[in-house]
Amino acid sequence: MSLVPEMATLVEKRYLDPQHSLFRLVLDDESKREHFHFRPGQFVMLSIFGIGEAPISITSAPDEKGFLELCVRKVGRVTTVLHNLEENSKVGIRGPYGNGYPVEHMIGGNLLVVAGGLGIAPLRSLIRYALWRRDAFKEIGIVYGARTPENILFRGEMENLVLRDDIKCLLTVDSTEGQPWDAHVGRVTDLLDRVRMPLRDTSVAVCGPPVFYRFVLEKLLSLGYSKGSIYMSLERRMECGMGKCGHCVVGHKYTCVDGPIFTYWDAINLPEIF
Amino acid sequence: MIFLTIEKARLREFLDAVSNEFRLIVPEKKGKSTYIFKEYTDFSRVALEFLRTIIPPKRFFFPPCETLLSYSEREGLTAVTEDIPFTVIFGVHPCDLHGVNILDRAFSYGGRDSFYWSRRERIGFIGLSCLPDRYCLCKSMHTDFIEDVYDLFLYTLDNVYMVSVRTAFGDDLTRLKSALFKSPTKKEILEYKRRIKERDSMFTRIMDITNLADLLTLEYKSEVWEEYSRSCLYCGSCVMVCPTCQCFDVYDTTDLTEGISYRIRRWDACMRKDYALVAGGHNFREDRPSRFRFRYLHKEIGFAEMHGRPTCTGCGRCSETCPAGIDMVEVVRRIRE
Repeated sequence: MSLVPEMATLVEKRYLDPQHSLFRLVLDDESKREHFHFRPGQFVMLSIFGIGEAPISITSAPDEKGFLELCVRKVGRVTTVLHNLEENSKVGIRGPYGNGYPVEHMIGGNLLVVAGGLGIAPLRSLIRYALWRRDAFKEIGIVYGARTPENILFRGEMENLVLRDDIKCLLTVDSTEGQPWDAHVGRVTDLLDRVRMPLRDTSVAVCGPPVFYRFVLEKLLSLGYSKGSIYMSLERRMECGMGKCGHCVVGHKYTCVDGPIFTYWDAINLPEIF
Repeated sequence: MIFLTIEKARLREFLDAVSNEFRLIVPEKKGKSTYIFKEYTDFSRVALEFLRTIIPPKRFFFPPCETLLSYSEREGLTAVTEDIPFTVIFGVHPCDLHGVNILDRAFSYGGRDSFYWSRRERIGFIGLSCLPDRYCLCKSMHTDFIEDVYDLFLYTLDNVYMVSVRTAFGDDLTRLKSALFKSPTKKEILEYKRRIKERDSMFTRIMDITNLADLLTLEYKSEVWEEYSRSCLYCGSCVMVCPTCQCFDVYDTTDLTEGISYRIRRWDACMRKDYALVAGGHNFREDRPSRFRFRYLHKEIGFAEMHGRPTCTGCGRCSETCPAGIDMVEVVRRIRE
C-alpha cells in the first residue's frame, strides 16, 4: 500500500461509444501482474504522469488473469488524456482499493444487477465473476439502461447475455433517437417489474448516476427488497485511495476504504449521502 | 516509566547536548505574542513560557508541500526519498502530542503512508507542561494530559523540571548528560501534585462534548450552519493551524525543459469549493453551509466512529486564528441549545 504506482502498459484500446472506451492494461512487472488480486467493485488509481491521477473501477473479472480492463468516460483531465493515448503508452496503476462487493456473502443466493449508463463499469466485473461460476448462484437477473441504443456499453456482450437462458438479462433505453432497437424503451424501473427476481435471498447490486439511484432505490423498496441487501457503489473525489486525503469522506466513512460499496442501510446512516 | 528531575538552570546544558547529537527543534518567539517551532540555535532564544505555536509540529513529518514522485521517459518512475536527519522536537504541549497521536492513526488507517512514516519515525518528542489561557480547551477534550507519543516530558516545578521518561529513546537522551538528572525528592513530588491541581483549576473554557455526535446528527439541518456560513470566509486558516487536519491534494507538474514530471502533495482544506467536486462537474458539497458543517461533522463524529475519539485536541488555534472570529466553542454551544 503506497502512493507510488506500478508502471503499466496500455495494450489495447476499444471504442465503446463517443464518450467511453475500454482500456486494457498490463502491469510491467511480471510478478506483480501475477499477484494482482482484486474483487469485483474495487478500483485502481490510474496515473498519467505529468497530468495526474484518477480513481477508476475495474471492469474485468478477477478470474481474467494477467490484465486489467477499465471502462472510462472522457470527462476530466486524466480521462481525456487517457482517451488520446496510443496503444503501448505507459501509465501508472495503484491498488486495488476499496472494499468491493461481498461476493463470498452473495454466493449461494440470487443476484440482481441494476445498472444505469456508465454504472455498468464496476457491475460488469461482478456479472463476469458470477457467470464464471454460474452454478454458485441461484437466479441471476441483470437490468441495464442507457440513454440511447448507441450508449449501451458493451452492447455485443449485453445482447449475448439477453440470449442466455440461464440468466434473465433485460435492456432498455430512454429513447431510440431513430437508432435501430428492438428491446424496451423506458426506464430501468419498468424492467425491475419485469425481471421478477425473488425477494428473499437476493443481493441487489445497483450502480448509476445520482438521479438513477433515487428512482431505482425507491422502486426496489416498494418491491420489498431489504435495505441491507441492496448494494450501492459511490463515486467521490479521491486523491489517495487509502483513507487519508479526506476528499472522499461521506459523513464518517471513507469511500475509498470503507466503500465504495455500501449497503443502502449503511448509506442512509451516513449524513450527506444524497 | 522512570521519573527524574533536572534543575531549570541546567536545561541549557541538556539542550546543547541534545543538539550536538540530533537536529533539535524548539519553540521561539516570533511576533509580539506569536511563537513558532524552529531549529535550535541558542538557548536564550528558546521560549519556555509559551502557549501555542502558530503552526503545530505536524509540518515536520507532514510538510505543507512535498514531492512524492518524479517521472521521465528516460529515468522512469522514482519515489522521492529525502535523507531526513533524526530530529528531536522540544517543548511540545500535551494537546499537540495528542495531535501527533491522532495523525499517526490517520496515516495508518487504510494502509501505512510511507511518506509520512519515513519522517515520523525519525522524530522524537520532548513534551513540556503548560498553563491554560482563554482559548485552551484541552480539559474538555480530555487532552490536558498525555501518556503516549512523547519520549521525555518536562513538568515545570519551582526550581526543577520533573521529567517523565517514557521510551528507551527518552532514556538515551537523558544519558547524553546523565549527571544533570536526579531522582525526585519527596518535596518535589508534593509540588508536582500541587501544581497539577492548580493547573486543573485554571481552565476557564469548557465545551460540553457529551452526546455531541448525536446532537450534530440531529441538528444536521440546523439553521446554525447557514448562519455561520455567512460569516465564514472559507479561507482555510483553521485547517492550516489544526494539529489534526490531514487533508491533502495531489497534483502533477511538469518541468518542460528537463522533461520530468513531479507528483506533489500539499495541504488541502475541506472548505474549498472544489474539494468534493468530481470530474463531470458534480459537486457533493456545493453550498457554503454544507462545507462549513462538514468540518465539524468530520472532527467530532467522523474520526470518532473509527478511532473512538474526536480529532479536536482543544489546542485553541482555530478560535484564535479565525479572521471572522468564529469560535468552535460557540458553534457547539449553539448546536446544544
